[in-house]
Amino acid sequence: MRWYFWRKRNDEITEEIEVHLRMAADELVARGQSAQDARHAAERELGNVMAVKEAVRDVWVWRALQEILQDLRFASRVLTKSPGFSVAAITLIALGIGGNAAIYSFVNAAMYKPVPGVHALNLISLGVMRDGHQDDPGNSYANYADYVAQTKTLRPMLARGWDRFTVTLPKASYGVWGTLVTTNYFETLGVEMAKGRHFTEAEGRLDVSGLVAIISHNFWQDAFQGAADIVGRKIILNGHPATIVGVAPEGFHGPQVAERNDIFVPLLSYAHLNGRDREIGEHLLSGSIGVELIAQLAPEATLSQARAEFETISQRSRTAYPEANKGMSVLLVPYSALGPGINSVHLFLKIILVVAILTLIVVCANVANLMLSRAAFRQREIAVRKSLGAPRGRIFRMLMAEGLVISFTALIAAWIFARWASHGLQRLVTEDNGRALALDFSADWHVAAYALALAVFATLAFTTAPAIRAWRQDPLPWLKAGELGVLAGRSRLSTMLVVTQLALCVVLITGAGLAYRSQYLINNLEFHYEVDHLALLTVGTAGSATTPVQHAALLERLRERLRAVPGILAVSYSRIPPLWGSVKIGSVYRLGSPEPVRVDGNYVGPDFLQSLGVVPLHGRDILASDRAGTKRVAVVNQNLAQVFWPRSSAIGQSLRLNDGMIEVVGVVPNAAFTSLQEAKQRNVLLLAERQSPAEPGETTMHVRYAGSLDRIAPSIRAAIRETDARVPVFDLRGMRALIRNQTGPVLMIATLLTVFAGGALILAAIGLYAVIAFNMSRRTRDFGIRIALGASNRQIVENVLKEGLAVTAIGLAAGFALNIAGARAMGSLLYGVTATDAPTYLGAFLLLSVVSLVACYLPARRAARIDPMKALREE
Amino acid sequence: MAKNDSDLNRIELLQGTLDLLILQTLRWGTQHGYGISQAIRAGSNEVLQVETGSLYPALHRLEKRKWIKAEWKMSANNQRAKYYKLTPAGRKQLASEQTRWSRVVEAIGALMQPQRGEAES
Repeated sequence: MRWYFWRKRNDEITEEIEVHLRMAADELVARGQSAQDARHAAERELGNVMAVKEAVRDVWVWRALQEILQDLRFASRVLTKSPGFSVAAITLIALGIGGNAAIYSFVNAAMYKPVPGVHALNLISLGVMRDGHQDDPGNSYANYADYVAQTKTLRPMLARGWDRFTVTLPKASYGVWGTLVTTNYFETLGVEMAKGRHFTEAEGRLDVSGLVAIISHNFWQDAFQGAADIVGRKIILNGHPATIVGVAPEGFHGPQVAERNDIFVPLLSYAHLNGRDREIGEHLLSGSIGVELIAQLAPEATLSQARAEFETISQRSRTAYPEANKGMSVLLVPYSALGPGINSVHLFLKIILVVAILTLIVVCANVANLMLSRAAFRQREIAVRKSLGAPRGRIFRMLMAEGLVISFTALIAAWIFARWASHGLQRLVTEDNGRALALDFSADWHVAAYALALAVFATLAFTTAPAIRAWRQDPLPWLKAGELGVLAGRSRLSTMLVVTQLALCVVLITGAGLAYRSQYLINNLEFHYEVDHLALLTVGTAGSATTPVQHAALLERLRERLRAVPGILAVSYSRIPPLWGSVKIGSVYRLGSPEPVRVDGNYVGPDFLQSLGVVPLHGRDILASDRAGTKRVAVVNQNLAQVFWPRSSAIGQSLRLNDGMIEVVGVVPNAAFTSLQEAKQRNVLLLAERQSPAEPGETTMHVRYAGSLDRIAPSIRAAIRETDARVPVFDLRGMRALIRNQTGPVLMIATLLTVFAGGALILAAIGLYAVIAFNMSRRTRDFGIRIALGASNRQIVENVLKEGLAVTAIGLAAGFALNIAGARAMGSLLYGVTATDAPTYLGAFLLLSVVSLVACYLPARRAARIDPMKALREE
Repeated sequence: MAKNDSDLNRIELLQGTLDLLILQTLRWGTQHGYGISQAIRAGSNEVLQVETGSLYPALHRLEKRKWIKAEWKMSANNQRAKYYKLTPAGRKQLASEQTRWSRVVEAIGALMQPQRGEAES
């Protein structure tokens, strides 16, 4: 706006001078000079045109600039004269803005920065919508091929699917995550190879003769010790010979944060080698290779054009393949390292961002309050200025300038604080395997702009109130009356600010409380099993077994071999790792009852309860004798036993599954077998793997050991390699780490919320204290008279406390009302507590009450000690 | 190019007097910058020389103080030009400037010709 006026004024000045020259020249022409001479003469007379324009412009610039400088200089002088206030205000704002900037640099890194290695701009993720709801982003390869053929706005476009890979080298096998990619994968993402080259188009054809692969930097270092001649080496990939053609740059494991791919192979040739050619053309997701898509906007195409185009393409594909693409449309969103669409990470980031902003608002409210109480004492100064003829605008500007000086000094301090704090944050956020999250947390211009915006916001927030007061103020009464008599009216505004602070405090503290309580509940959850000294590792049997029977036999061989390792006490296995959910069993029926019951099921190996450390309440564990050909058995948890046989023992009873009868041989406590959430409410059914073995694939071994995991881990790996070198080992870790992985986000939220809530609580207490103390000082005379008339200490204290507690009560009420809305957002991140957890609310209520009682009691006690004689003599 | 006689006879304006002359010129109605400079030159029988380099800053200064008001209009020979007009505040200012000016003239006159000043007073 302002810039526009400047431009306009400049243009006008130029035109005015030009008109002058023309008029002067015209006159000379009228006197008989040639047009050219006339123009020259006119210009000569004018002198240096640029200098003239500059001089004219200066008339306008100079005064405004001078006044602003004058305001700023004056503001600095005022602020250095009351250093206590200034330091307090600047520190508060600096912490507020700094904390926000740190949080934002984290959010910025997660939401807006690509993962390391990705350099392409304008990347778009293609999500999937089904019937208007966001679905899993998986699409079929056949749809991908259709999109590529039809789109003009998104090119190039890549597709990628995931698979586990067993990489067999001469000495050992490695189990790794890998990506099946279209050959344009690395080029589309703009990833530069650390060694070797990208895939060529020819390598992506269905009928290509030899398989090629690109490996991650990590895998290059770990498995090949960073060998210089890596390009061209031969490896065996899931049984197929392959040639390494390149090494991805350090830190790149896929375009999204959570990906851990160590190997990349061309999708089509890999599918061909595995006899999955048919799936390439399949539009139905269940029968095809699932892929996720990322594309780059074509030059000069916009996102909205692409969206419009994909409306049409989706429409066409719905019509062409009504069964496969029913109700499906493509969702185009800018690429984010967190993946397309809304997920729990987004939610989490939003929560902490909101929390940080709430804290800043509390800070601003507090500084506004400080400014207000100072403004109250400066009302006379302002009244004098006004009566001497200072325009209102000028006084307004003077107060704004003070705010600006505070904010911008604070901004510098905040920047330093933010840089320090974001390092702390980065350490707090780690991936499940303890590796730091591969994100660039450093503050870039986004963060700087954000901090600057916050500073401007803060300035406005905390200077507006005093400035408005000054604007409206009628100078007369302040010139006439003594200072103490005329401060009324101020307290309502600051009381409102304190109420706001208290309310936000309630939200933050209950948030922190809820997070801590779920953390506490997890830590004290009755697992009913020994969390320590339990190692979990996933093995893949697909490389050596081809039938379910071979699979089961191999698992037993592995179990027997591991049991022989010194230091290992018990070994078992389960189809799905603990806390990772359950196997789809279908429905379970009681004998003679058609009513199905929902259960969480798992198929487990012999000695399962023993290795987990669960003591059965009744009956026995699954044993080695429960093998194919014997009577099918199951262990149920107490809940399930209760549902089916509320009055009799469950042992020896029969259950009906969709595929046959099963006898219950054991009852276990309601332990957290399949999930930490609602562990006590689930019905759990454990079946014997050997009696209904699965197709070869992944199984999680449970190893109970003595001593330390670091010492036993190499022996475990060695034992597996000795049993069958083709069996890869994935994710060897302790049970404790697995639990931490699931509860990490809660702990992080708890920590962050505590920091913010603690800060906000201190601020609110100071704010409350300031308001009460100020109101009390205003009433010194009043109290003096009361005391002189015989009021007791107690009466005075009660009087002041009543005022303070009324404010507290309103603040708390408002806060709890806010909470009911806010806490719901946290619900999905909590364990074992609901968003309206009574103990947490009670705790928050008590904490805030005590703190505000203390904040009010201090001034109250001072009021009671007023010397009536002194108080009456004052003024 | 040699300066001609009229050039030599022209007098550079005293600091502050330009504002007065502009206000005085605008007393008769609206005028553009070039017109003002011509009017001053003509009005002083070609004695007073208005430097264009100081005329325009002065005009803008006066405009900023709200003593004169500017407006874009078409000139007599159909050119767009910026016309200035005296405001009521400017009229007041002109009156006080005139008083001040006559005092200055009187005082300087007295200094320059003391005997006559004494005789007169």
